Amino acid sequence: MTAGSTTRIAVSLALIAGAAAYAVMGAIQRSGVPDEASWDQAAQVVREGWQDGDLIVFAPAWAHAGAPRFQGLHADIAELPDWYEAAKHPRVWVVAQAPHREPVPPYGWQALARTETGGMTVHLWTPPADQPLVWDGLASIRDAKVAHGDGPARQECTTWQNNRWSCGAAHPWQNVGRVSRDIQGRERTVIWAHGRDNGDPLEIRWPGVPAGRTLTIHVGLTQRAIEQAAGAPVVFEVRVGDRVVVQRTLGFNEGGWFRHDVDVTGQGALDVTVRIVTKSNPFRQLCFTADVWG
Amino acid sequence: MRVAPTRRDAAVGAALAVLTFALLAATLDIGFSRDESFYFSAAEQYAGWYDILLTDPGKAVSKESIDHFFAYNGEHPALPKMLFGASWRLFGQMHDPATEPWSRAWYHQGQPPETILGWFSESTAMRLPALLLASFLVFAIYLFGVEFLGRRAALFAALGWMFQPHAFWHSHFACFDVPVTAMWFLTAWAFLKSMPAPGEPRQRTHWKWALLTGLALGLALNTKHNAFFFPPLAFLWWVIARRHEFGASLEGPGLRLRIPPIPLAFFAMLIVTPVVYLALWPKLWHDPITHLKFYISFHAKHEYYWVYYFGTLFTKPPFPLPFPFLMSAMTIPGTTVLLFAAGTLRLFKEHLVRTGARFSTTLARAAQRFPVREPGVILFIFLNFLIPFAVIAHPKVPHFGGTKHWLHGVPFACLMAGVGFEVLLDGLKALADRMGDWLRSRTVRVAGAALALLLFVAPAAFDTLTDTADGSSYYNAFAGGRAAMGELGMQREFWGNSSYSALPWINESLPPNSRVDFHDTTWDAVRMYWRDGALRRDVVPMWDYNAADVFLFHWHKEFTDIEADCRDAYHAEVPSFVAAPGGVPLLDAWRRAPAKPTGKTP
Repeated sequence: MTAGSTTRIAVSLALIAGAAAYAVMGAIQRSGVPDEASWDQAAQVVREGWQDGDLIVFAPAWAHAGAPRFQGLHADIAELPDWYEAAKHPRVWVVAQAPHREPVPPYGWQALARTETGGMTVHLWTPPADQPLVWDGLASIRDAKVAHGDGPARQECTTWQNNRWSCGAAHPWQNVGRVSRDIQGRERTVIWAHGRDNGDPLEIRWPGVPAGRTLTIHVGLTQRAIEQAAGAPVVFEVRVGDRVVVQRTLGFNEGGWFRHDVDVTGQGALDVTVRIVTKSNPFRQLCFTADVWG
Repeated sequence: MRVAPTRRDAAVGAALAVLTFALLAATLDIGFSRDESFYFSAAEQYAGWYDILLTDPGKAVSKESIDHFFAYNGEHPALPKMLFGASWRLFGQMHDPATEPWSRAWYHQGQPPETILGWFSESTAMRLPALLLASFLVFAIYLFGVEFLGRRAALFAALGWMFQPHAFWHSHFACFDVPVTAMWFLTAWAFLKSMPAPGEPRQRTHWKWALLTGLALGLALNTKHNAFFFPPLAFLWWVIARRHEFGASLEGPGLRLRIPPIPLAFFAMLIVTPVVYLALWPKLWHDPITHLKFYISFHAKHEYYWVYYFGTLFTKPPFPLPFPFLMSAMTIPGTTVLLFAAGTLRLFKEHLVRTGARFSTTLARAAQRFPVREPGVILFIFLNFLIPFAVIAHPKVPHFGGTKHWLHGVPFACLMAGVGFEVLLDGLKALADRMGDWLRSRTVRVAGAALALLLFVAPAAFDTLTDTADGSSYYNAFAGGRAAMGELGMQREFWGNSSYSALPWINESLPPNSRVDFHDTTWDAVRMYWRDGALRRDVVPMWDYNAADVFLFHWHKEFTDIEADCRDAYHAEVPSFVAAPGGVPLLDAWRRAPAKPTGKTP
């Protein structure tokens, strides 16, 4: 026997092992796809335990094949999870299948229940109880004071139409309001605040925001914005009272959903102001959220 | 060395081709992709020209007539669409406006032609030429393999091509990608056969194959522009493969250049190909320069398509260089990928050892153990695999997101996988020799080889023949299966065909005269669904979800904002129907006026 024949044998056996492993992997993957009955049972479990304010998420997040069975219930079907937003709900149902049938709750969350439903598992989780959501800027957008310009050029934006603030006549995109946009890999429901042109500042102010411990800001440009060769960097600034607590320049094509946590403990009611400035505004589709947690 | 295929080889190749055709014909329930729908429309319009050609040939070739019938889709050669149109006219079962007056709206200019044979549905009749070419390709791969690599490699190469979900899916369409793959392969095969083996004299048969090369290249160019890359490939191969025959020396007063015999096929490509190209593309008959300028300009400045690749949405250059290679590695069944890797490593090893054999007696002895191969053939196969991939890999070339744009390189990858199958069988033979006499009988060895073939082909066949309607969303088990689309953030459907999966739901669930936004499915595709009886004729198609009752969202990363807007507009939390082969949503159907929120079981 030569070394050459030993090598040939080893290569052949490795190929056969590879092919066998491939066949087994395929079978395992196929068996992990839930059938109709599993989805039916999962929907039954969720409906029977449903309470107002609950949220359904899927694990993996993209696996919403059985979503029609949850008609009428509040569900997140984006392809990536967003546990920060999910934490705004008192309870979250996690409808899970392979390869994430046993997901681990995020830090601080509690698992309340776990039910196997054929090829799936339904988990019921609750977010940290010691950090309640005190205020949600998106939910309070109607209460915001929107303006643009500085000094004598300052102008209040008082047109409220289709849940959006516009300066002057209602504008299709130069406005401030609630939208869902693809930002950093998933659809996010956010406050749209498209930058104005030529350095004209856009300001969104909430006076009398309830007191809490942490002001959490998320900010980013939309996917559409970062893929365009247009516009200029955007300066995003948040003030609490007169104090600048967040300042960030979002680069020309800078993707991301950037989080800033500001300690506001013991400050009483807050005056929160968001200011957006850019020298050139084509496709400067800036979006943000602002929340106060207790 | 070359082995002339026997009649039995031809019979095996033909049997594989017939099997391919049967499998394709049995799985025709595949939705119409965007491009196919455009070619349906073009084929229908071009087919009208045949009537004029038969009744008044002089008028048919006039500029006015050509401009009238061939105005649409001039950015692609006419030949495939002329074939689809001819097949449709001959075999298609048309609707009769006298008994179905509503059907007028389903046809170009409101008037279907009369049925001639009426053997097939209209879409099947359109697809027939592509199905035949796809079947012929399997025959050609097998015979090419027999001639240049051996029967065992040939068999796996043919089966490896047959059982690829993406290629199989594309093989159904009245499109250009598999036809040009067949034409390219035919061109390459004819080219290689037109070349005498090194040291052998030219014979008459080489002239014939050279002429066929010119003809085949003309047909390939008339199918799709990918074929323009074949002549430079052939030239590059000739220069590299015959590099030792080039030379220059100083003799007497001047420089004397030495070059190997110029391939006859090059002359055929220069003379026959342009004639065929011109003859089969009517738009070139009257003003060829203007139309060629338009044609070249269209493809040179092609818009960039979105590409969703490992969680990043690429919208403009630079596109990821490994894209075609990795996508193929993830979307060709894993067993074929394994054998491709084994075959490539083996051929690379052979090349190194043969190169080193000039300098080392040890390597020379090692080289003698390798199969005798005609010099240059492996390089030719390798270049035919590599260049189609490399063209798309260039970061400034549109990547499109699917896998069809380098499909003409994949049969050559299968031939290399065929060499991998040889490696597998060689090792098994060595194992059998080591294990004892009882394993040395011919029967045992044939059975062993058949089992090995089954082990590598069966998973690929299973993958190919399940979820056939959504072949473009297949990822192999090594990549994670179809779940790779969600887990890794990869392209899902490609393109616009997924609404087909929702047609039964539409037909059964929606009230009469429902308005449906078909999103990425085109009007031409909807017309064909009607003509094939796949869609209720009262459904009102539109492309504005605000005005529609139902929105068929085709899951593309770049469109998710539209889905979110529709969800808000419809006040719907979840879709009413989801098409999700392998558990990964390809299409979400959103419907207005969902049920009121409730926690109780209905």
